[in-house]
Amino acid sequence: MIVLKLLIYRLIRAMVLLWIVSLMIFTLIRLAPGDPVDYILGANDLAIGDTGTIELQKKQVRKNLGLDVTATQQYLNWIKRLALFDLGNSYRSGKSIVSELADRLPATLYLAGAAFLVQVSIALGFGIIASLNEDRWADHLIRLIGVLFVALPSFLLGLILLEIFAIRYPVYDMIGQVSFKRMWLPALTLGVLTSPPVMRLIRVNLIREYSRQYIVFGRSKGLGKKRLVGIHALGNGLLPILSVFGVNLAGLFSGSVIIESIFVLPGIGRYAVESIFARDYPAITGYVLLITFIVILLNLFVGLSYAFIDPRVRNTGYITK
Amino acid sequence: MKHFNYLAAILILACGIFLADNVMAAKPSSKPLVVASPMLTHTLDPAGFESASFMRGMGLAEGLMRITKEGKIVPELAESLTRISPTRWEIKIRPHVRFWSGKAVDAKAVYNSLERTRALNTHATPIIQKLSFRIKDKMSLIVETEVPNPAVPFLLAYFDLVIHNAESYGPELNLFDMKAMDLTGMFKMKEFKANETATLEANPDYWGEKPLTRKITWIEIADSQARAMALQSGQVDIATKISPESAIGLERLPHIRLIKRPPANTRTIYLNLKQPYFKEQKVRQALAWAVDRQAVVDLACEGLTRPATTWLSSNPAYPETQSHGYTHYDPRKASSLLDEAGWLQKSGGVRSKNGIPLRFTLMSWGSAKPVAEVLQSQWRKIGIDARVLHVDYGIISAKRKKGDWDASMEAWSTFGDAAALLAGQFSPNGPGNYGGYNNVETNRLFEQLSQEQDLQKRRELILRLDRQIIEQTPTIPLHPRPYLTAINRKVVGFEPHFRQFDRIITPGLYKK
Amino acid sequence: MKLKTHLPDTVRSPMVVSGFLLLLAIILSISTFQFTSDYDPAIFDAGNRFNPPSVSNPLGTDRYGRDVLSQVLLGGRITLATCSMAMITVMFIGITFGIVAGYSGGIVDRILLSLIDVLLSFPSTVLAIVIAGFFGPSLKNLLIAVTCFWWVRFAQITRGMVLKIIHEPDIEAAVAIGASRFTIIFRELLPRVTGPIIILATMELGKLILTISGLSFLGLGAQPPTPEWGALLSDGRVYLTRAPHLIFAPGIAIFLTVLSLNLLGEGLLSLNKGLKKEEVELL
Repeated sequence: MIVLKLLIYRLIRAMVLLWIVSLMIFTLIRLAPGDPVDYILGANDLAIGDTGTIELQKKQVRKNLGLDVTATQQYLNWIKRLALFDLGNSYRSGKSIVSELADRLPATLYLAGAAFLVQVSIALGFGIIASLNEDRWADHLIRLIGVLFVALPSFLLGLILLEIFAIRYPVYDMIGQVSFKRMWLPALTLGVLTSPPVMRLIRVNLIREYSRQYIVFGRSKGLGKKRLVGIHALGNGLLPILSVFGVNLAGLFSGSVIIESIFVLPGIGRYAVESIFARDYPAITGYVLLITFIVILLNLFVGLSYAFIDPRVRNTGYITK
Repeated sequence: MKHFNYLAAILILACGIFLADNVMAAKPSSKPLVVASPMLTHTLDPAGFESASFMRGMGLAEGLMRITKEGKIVPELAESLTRISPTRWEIKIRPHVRFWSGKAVDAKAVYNSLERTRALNTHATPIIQKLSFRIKDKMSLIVETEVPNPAVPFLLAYFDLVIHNAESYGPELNLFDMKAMDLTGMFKMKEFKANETATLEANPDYWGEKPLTRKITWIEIADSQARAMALQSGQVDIATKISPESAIGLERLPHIRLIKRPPANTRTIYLNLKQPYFKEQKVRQALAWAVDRQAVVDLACEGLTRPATTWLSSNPAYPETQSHGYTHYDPRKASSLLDEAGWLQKSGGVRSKNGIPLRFTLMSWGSAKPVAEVLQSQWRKIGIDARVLHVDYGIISAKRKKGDWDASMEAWSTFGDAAALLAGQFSPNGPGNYGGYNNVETNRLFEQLSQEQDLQKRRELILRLDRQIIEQTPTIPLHPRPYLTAINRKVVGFEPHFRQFDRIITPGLYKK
Repeated sequence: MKLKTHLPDTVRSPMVVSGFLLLLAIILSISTFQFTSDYDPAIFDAGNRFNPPSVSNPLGTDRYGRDVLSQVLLGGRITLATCSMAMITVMFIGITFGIVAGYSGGIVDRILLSLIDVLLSFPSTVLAIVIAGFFGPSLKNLLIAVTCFWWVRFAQITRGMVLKIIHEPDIEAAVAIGASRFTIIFRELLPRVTGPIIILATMELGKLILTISGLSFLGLGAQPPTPEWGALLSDGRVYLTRAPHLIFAPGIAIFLTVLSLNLLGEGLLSLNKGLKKEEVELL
């Protein structure tokens, strides 16, 4: 019953959040400077320099974009279409944003998913090693490497890796579809660079867990530290980190923008950046709504998974506080 | 089990490809080509938004007329175009041309195609509405214009007017239906994935010279640097529209050839002639003389274009204009012009007149950022303080509409009907006359030009206009905006076209 | 303040010392350059393009023949100054909201808490993209966007600390004898919260620099010719094969700066008892 209540509460909150975001975006579009028509017809290379021609083209384009009606009307049209999952058409390509985003989503999902796996495995592996060797040289070394990696700009590392693996020793496939050959390098870069904070978190939680009563008790019973890690500490120590994993995955979705740009992946992040430069407002809007949606979904999932995993939450309806 | 099936299929396919490759290896010309471009095409319908020009470049579609790499207008699907009277022309259609489907290209098919484009293609509307078509007989059409228009051949060569089978596409726009595609080009579309790849196969029934290459894969890579890298790594054979910055890295590589043909456009500084200092002709001339165009080309464009002396000088059809206007760099002349105009410099600072400093903002967008920076540095040497503002095009456009601007840069196409193009830049209502240039003498020449029907006299008038305008310098010409094509040296027979999107694929192109 | 009581420990910690020295070196070289150099970024030299590192140009020259070291040092001021300003603003907003929420409790706390929850779940780059997308990319817009969400972390931590502090016996005693709100906030809460928050800010500053330069690298932040580090790196990107020093110089500058801040911040953090470690790790 409590779980159901929690579910409903979370769903309502998610809807409200989505609505607020959509409202915010529409206001921003209205406030933004510049005329999208100019961006569309900006390619003067192809223009025929004839008097009147260009004004006529502008009028046509304005009409095609539905910009020739009042702001209120535009807002109503927009909301109506949003309700039907119609995000409008891209100013640049004239294609539906939904289909363009759907085309671009697999690359980002692949990248975020693969990077998440890399991140979690590195973090778990090194986190456990560090926690077992608390304050010994292995712990310090891992910590130092973590500090170094956190300070390394992803765009610098990405560019260098690309130069090495795509040009000098061409083992990385720069063109082509979303596949392992195309994704391994960006996923590795993103995963490795984002792992240190998670790793430290795992380490701290495990160390705290080792000092807990029942583990101390277990040790007194003669269980080795390593077995304890497997049996108790990991389970209890990692539960609080679950929400961090959720937030992290959301962060990887949006944080992949730079990596996508460097490795020229056909993902939604690069799509957003390209749309910004083209002033493609419907596309930017679509991107933000999609990311909001994904983030809300992830949070919902994390929140609910607590309810199923942790009996304390299941019975009280509270999550961590 | 499922995986096994896939694996088996892949193996068989691989064997097949391997065998086929070996059989074909006897002929050096049949190797597939891979081309990377920033965009494949917007749609698959030649009447769709910005699609036909891409199809022309890919060798898929053709028009009645085309523009050669030398800038001449020649018949393509038309056999001939003759002028019957000042407002009437006759098109004879090339015999024995067929669409991919086998349907004959006759007067009716051409008429339907043109009318379909008229109805659906907003980009082509302004061009096509000047022309009305009428079927004369099975293989010829009549074109009529309301007023005498010597530019009809050029209008028919317009990149969006390609001949397609209107029946196959249907009366509405049919944007992404590959089956509906029915064109006349030397290549056929075999497979199309929007924003990813297009696979093309040679058209065995092509009416003209058959292409030496059988298969071309087009890959969309939006980023210029990535296209350059893909070419460098050998994964791509031809990369189009490379920025000069990326191109210069390629130039040093032995296995890559850079095509350096400057395009027919002129990157120009537009001056807001309502600003008091730009009202003075001497100030405008001084600004133009103080520009070291060769240094701009070297520093900002990696030396991959050439200086433009007047606006029209990048048009390959008017080579004479290259001796008009700002043929060299003359900072002394610039300084003395400013001195004469009363803009004086004290101890190396910014020049001023009546206490007002010679200071303005130069707006740049897109790839013009380094150009603006170099200009700023050059003008500073003679005491002109230019602030550089790199923004996106919409901001520039909005500011110009409000009149809230000093100077901005843009590169308009200079190829086509020179009279119309010049009028677009320098007549009072020209869409490219951002600065508000309005000169009695120039307007009189435009008037004269619009009355003149004799081609030789028109040419003389155009040259006179060019000289007259550059003397007054309402805008400052810089150089053609470079975008380069780079090819692997294994690719033979590439013919550089001055319009980089046009005829990238020609019959003689193949990979060794 | 907390910082003072730890001074002896502080000096002994290798992390703190190395971070501090590195940061000091960076700030010193940037400010020395600012006051002594007559470098003029508007002077171009077509004859000296893309020179590799040499005696006269320790980090080589760029596409305009300018000295890269000077460009990087000039850019350092912009990067450090803007990011520090933004961080101070963020700290101020965060502490204010944190104290208000933690101290007043009740409905105010509820509202602020849900706002924090919402903002925390939102990926940070997205907001920056929204602002850059609709108002055009510029350093100013980027800083506004970053400030809009960054304060949340500070507010959350501050609130946690305040909640703990107000239940301590001496504060409860002070409330009991009728100390004014003003006294409690400014005499008790603020001083005890500030120290740990500054340590946090040191670490967060590193993250902020990475974010700002990353978005500038994409072209969503500082616009050329502003020699912001990310923008410099982005400029040099196309010349990677020809002149790798153009990306390494600003890249390593970012790396060293962020590294020094992280070392300093983490070193101080491990010495400070005012902050619960795992709470901070969650950031």
